[in-house]
Amino acid sequence: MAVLRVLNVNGDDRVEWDPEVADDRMRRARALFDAKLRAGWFAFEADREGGGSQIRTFDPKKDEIVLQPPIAGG
Amino acid sequence: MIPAIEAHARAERLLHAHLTAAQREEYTATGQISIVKYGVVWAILLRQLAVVLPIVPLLAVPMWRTLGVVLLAIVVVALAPFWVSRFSLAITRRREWVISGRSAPVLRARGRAVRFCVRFTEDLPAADRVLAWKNLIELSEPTFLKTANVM
Repeated sequence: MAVLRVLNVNGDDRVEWDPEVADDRMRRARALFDAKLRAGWFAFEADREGGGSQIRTFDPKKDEIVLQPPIAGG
Repeated sequence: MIPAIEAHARAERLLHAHLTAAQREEYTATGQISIVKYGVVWAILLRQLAVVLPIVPLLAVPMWRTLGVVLLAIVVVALAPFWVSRFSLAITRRREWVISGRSAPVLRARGRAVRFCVRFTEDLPAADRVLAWKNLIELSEPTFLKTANVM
């Protein structure tokens, strides 16, 4: 199973889907991902070694994607 | 919304799963993690140089050369107070970021600590903030620096 984690006041909310099945869960994850990025959120693909990379498009094959809120200030 | 103590525990579990072994050890011992970055931050240098770029063509035209030099001098003098700190940061070979859930990341470079007035736009448990700062600094440092007005 792949998982999209949305960091929030609860810790995180999760949407899980099967990378091999294009069903409602995957569509829901994609819609959430797109909506958050349009709102300025950041998306990072996490690897198992504590690293990862920033991503800007939804890839259902990724094992784990973390969405985190925008930053402000300066 | 779930109780804060449960949210905190969930965030701690998530953070621990995303730290390297060394970071996990440091976080357990001190409640913070350190990230060391090396090399020039080209995004800062290029962005600052882009400010004077529109003036450079004037220098190539004999009739406008004097005006170009004067304009360039004015811009350089006016921006010098901002450039000194930005260039100093951009060309530092070793930058150490200290990340905790209590504040925005602190940058240690050239023997001094730089604090930034930057925050997340949503409320997050402390451990989530550590994870989110870690992601930004490790994987998208220029984004952080741009928001912090370093670029």
